[in-house]
Amino acid sequence: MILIFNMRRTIIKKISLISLLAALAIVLSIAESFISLGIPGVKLGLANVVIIIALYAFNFWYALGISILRVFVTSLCLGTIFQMGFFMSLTGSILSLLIMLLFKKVFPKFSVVGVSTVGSIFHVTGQIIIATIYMGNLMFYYYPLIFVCSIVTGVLTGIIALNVMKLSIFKNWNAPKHKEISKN
Amino acid sequence: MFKKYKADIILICSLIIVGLLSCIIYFNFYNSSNHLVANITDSNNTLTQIDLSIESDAEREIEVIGLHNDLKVGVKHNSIRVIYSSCPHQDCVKIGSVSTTNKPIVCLYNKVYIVLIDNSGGNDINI
Amino acid sequence: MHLKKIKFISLLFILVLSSCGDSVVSKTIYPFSTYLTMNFYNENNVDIDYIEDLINEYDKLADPYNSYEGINNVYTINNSSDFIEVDTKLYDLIKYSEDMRIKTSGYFNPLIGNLSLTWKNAIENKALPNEEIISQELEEISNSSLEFSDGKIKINGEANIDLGAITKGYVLNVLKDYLKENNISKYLINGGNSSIILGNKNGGDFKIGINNLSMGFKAKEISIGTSSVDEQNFTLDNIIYSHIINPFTGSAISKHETIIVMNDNAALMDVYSTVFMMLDLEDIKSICADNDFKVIVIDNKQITYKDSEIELYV
Repeated sequence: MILIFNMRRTIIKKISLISLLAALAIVLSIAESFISLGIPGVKLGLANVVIIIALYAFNFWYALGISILRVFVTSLCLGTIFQMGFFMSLTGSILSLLIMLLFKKVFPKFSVVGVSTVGSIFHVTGQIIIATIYMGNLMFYYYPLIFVCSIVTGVLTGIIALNVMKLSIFKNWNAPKHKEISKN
Repeated sequence: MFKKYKADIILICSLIIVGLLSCIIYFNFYNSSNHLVANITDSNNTLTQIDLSIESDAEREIEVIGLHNDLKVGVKHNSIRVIYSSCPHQDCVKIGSVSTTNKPIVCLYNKVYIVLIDNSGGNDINI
Repeated sequence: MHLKKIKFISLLFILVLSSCGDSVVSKTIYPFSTYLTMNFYNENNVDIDYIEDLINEYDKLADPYNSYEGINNVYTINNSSDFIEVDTKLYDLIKYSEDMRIKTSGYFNPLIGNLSLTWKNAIENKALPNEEIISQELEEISNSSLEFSDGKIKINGEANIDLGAITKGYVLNVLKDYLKENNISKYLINGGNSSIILGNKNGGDFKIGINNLSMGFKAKEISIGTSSVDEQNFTLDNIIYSHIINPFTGSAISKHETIIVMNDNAALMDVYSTVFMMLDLEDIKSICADNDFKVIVIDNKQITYKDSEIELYV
């Protein structure tokens, strides 16, 4: 009974935390849409901190869910749903997450910062690909500059994510289930 | 700490070097011709072509109505810039004056794109 | 395709070139959903305001999508089943269009309005239109006709008028005559890169570059009509659908990539540059020989055929 009760508490805690992360991702995404760094297509990537935390603290599927939800809700709020910006954001987010997962699994030597940097690069690459489909090669002219900027924002988001994940609330979500059973 | 993040540091430094080299190579590979033509498009159609080589050094203003709202574009001899745009971030304004063929001015919000073409072949028009 | 108009608020601009004292007067306006640039070289007597007013007048008269107070235009005719009395300018333009329909054996058809709009929307949405709608519109075109009577025009049938394939060229031809009457010969007037009239450049030739080909040709005192699939198009399954519509089949697939055709008459060139996009090369050559047209045909970014009198430079 105690085991079931503890498991329920764990599940409720997990859902609450993931929901909070999703809400935070949406708020950060909307907030950073008002900040411009002067180069078309370059953003701070604050919402990616949340995605990375979800990827490391929970798993790929939660991170994907939060990412897609973030893109949809942000686009709805900003009135850009199903326009070029929406597809750029969606493609960039999914591509970035897939690459981060790949790096995390295949190259365990890289920390969150390294994975975040690579994710950031592929995020902007995905966006440029969609922009190129819509507009021809106009946005491609800015790719070298956007590439360098994405490295900087990727490192920053990685460092922030790394420090936030030191909080106890993000620990042990991926610990094996048999350890809980053995305690009881 | 550096030992722990050695792989990350090597990766990031390599990427920065690749990125900076690309920027250096790309931004030095351009045409700064004396015969530039500005092509203003909405990605599918040419909205107008302005022969910048016959413009004077005094900037004149033209108005461009884009997808959502209007832009004010400043045109002078072999140079063009967006003076004002109604887009939220004004990225196209922050790009500033452009006098080379490798740097287009892009207003994603209003779908107005300005690209400079080298017309140093001295063509009166390009069809 | 819903084209955006650009308002041009700057004034006339005069550039004095350093050593030879040349002056170029240049102005760009935005009629017929595109741009029109006028360059006059060392011509001090040009009444640019009159020219601009004339072009703007034709722009309103030939507009199939908007009405203007006090003006009976193409929109008015399209939305009426009765005879509409129109200005002589519009009457002559539509009459000329009907003559062109006969001359081109129907490949140019002024009653292509609805079909043209369907494809404009298709290009904007990047999706093929419904085949049933195309069939219906083709039937409307073949069952419709224009009727003329004492300065009045009526459409018999369900089709609508769209003069997009002829208006620029026709207006430039009118301008050409006006400039000739006023002894103005040193000019270049470029209507959206599709209809161009050339005088001379201080006695010499103009250099006309051909996009995507890094080559060009020299010309003066001639009218040029161009059509290309490169603008106003969308691609689906590697097939380019453009704004050039065949009034017999309803197809937006052209037989050529770009046509450049030259002759004195700008209206003819505007019409035939469109018509040639639907014809095989042999038919194009035959028509050019009969009418003293000079043509350049471009396919897959290469010149498939050019008239022997045209000399290209790289």
